[in-house]
Amino acid sequence: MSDSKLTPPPGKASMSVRECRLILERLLVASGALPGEVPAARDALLAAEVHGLGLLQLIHKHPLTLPSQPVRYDETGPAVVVDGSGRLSALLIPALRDIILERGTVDISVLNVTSPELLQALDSVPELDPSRIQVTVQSPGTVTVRAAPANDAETASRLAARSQRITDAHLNGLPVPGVVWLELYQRSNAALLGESAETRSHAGYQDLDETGRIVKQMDDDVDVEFALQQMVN
Amino acid sequence: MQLRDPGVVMTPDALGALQPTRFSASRTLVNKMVQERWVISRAEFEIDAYGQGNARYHVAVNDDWSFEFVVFSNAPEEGVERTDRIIGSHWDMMGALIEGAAGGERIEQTKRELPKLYGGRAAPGTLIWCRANRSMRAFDLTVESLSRGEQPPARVLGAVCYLMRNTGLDGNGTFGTRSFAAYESEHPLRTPYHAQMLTSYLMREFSLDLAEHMAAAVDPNAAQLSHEFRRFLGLGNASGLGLVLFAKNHPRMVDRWISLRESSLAEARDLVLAADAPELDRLDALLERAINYKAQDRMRYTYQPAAALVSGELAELRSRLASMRVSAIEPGSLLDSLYRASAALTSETQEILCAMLLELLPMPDDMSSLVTVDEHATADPATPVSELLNIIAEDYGWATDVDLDEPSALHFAWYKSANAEEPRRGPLKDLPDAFDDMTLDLPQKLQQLVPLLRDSDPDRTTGSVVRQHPEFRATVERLLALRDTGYHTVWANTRDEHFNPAHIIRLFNSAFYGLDKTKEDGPVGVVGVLFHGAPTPADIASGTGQDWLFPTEPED
Repeated sequence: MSDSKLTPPPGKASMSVRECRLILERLLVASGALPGEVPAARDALLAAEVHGLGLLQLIHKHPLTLPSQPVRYDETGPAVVVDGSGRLSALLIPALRDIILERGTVDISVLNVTSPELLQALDSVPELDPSRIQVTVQSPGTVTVRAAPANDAETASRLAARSQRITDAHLNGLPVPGVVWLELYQRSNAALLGESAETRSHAGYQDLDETGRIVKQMDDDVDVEFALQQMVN
Repeated sequence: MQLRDPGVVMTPDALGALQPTRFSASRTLVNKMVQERWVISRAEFEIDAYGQGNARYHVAVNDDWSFEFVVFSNAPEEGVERTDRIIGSHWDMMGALIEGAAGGERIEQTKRELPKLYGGRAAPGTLIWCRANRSMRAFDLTVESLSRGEQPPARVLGAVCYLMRNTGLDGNGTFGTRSFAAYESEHPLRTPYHAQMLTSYLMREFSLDLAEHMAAAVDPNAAQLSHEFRRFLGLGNASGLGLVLFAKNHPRMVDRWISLRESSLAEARDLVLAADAPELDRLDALLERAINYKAQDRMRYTYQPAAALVSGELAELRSRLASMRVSAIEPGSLLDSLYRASAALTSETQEILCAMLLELLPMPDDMSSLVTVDEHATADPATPVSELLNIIAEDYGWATDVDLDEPSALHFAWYKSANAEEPRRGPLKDLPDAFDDMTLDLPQKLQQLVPLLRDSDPDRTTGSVVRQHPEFRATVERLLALRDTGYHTVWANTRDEHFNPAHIIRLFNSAFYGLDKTKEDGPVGVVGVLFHGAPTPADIASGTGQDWLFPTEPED
């Protein structure tokens, strides 16, 4: 089955949560993310899309890139400063979540990030249901995240709202224009390995000729042949 | 009774020996269908003498729920890429399981989109897309026999036990199918894999109907398959490397399924039974059936023990059970003693006994909630480094002890192809520098992580460590999230040149899905039979056929 058979789904096609997760993971790999960073970053990006922040449209317009400079943390004072070194803000969500969970009550200044509004997706992180989170965009590259323990009613309300968002996403899919769906899917394929006679042999089947073409016999049930021979004999 | 140690259960050899049980998805589905008397009927069968055309099956569950299975059947072709692999381009049948009455529009959309696979989008309300190939010789032989007014030779069909082989079931959000998480709480297929299993059951029905139909096209007086054959023949299944990646990505599900099985086994071994207890009569009857079943097993196994050997060992166990009942051994320890005696036999035999012991317990009320798992689990970043080191020392010695200097230790990498996303593994030296390496490489990762942790302040939080070393985030989060579970990870270096993936594929096929007669297919694949002995639609509609373990081969 060749990728050339792909056609954009018509109109505002819905992408399933599962497809979105796969595509985001592959886009991260294709962008050069460290393998150990990928699962948490993928879930953070997915949270941003499920939260309704238009993540897919955004990375369609501005392909995901990862600066070579690492994220820098100043955790010496009561307030924490995080310098994203030019990253998409949502990629910092796993680290911000951890800081909030470790400290309970904390003010975090996030500097040098793109699309800071994506940090609203902290409200869609399950571990942060028991936290009251306030995200304030100070300037185009700067945002303040203020966290404190939530009371029981707030926790229940946050959990209910988050559950509703993910349930809706599972039920209805994530609506996205077909051209965006297709372009992201094709771009994400860069994380996968291309086709060659050699790689086609890596699935463990002995069914290929030297060009990689499948030349398996029409009937591979050799046990039937064996049983037929036994019956004849 | 203490549960078996993960070090005993989670090795590839042990996992590969686990047998189908009453918890396997195909068996829980049949159980449900029989109990609720689902009605399966053939609504359409417009297929020519060569097997080309369309068919449709209707499944009525109750007043609120019904499904339709639409089938597009082809004649097998030479010169096309006809294969069990997803990179193929031709299958003998493709089908879709759709909620409610399929209707013309959804059938047309399915017919148009299904052949495109990755380029296609399922019609609304589609649960599963599937494809299958005929077992050519077995299928043709069946048609020939029936057209002569005879039943096919069991001694030949017994070598495969199916007429068609499933080569792919796609659902849960793939290709636009409904996400499993979106299934309503009262949805009849709300238990994991029941949608796939119902589709497989219907593929089996179609394969049998197709053979009868083609025989009748040859001779209107052709015979129909006997009830015994319709029970005996299942649906073939071929699986490849993808299940090893699935095991990596679903550790909590693996843990839940194996925990359920292990805790039930412990409970069964603890049963206090009098020598004349009906449960022991039941066990004796199951052993008798299994002895006969294995004696009749015509599969040719390679790395697994021969069926005749297993049959003999089961006979030993049956004799031992009889002796124990006569000698009135402590009632509280009879089943445990039998289990312990089985340790001297092949692991295949021991696990067949374990599967039988589970049959002696009442069935849990709500299988759906028991085996439905959210893979997301919290990894507490406030965990101190010292605690993480303890977890690694206590639970991951198998990984930190792997000798990575061995030339074979870092041989393979696991990946997916851009073409149809086929799971593959290739020698690392032959692969490009940068690609999505999907290997669960705990031996190498932990052997890099441990020195780093030992050099850290023991009170430092693991969250702080991964902020400084993000390359270890996934590993640290996995360890912390799974710390309260025991049966989550295969204890194996999957990079090693000598790692045999067939064990893990067999775990899913046998224990989770319930395939019988699983065996290796080529260097890494596994084939087996689904619904081998399962009740027919008529049996199900009448609420019978629930006890279908170890079917007897029809007589020639």
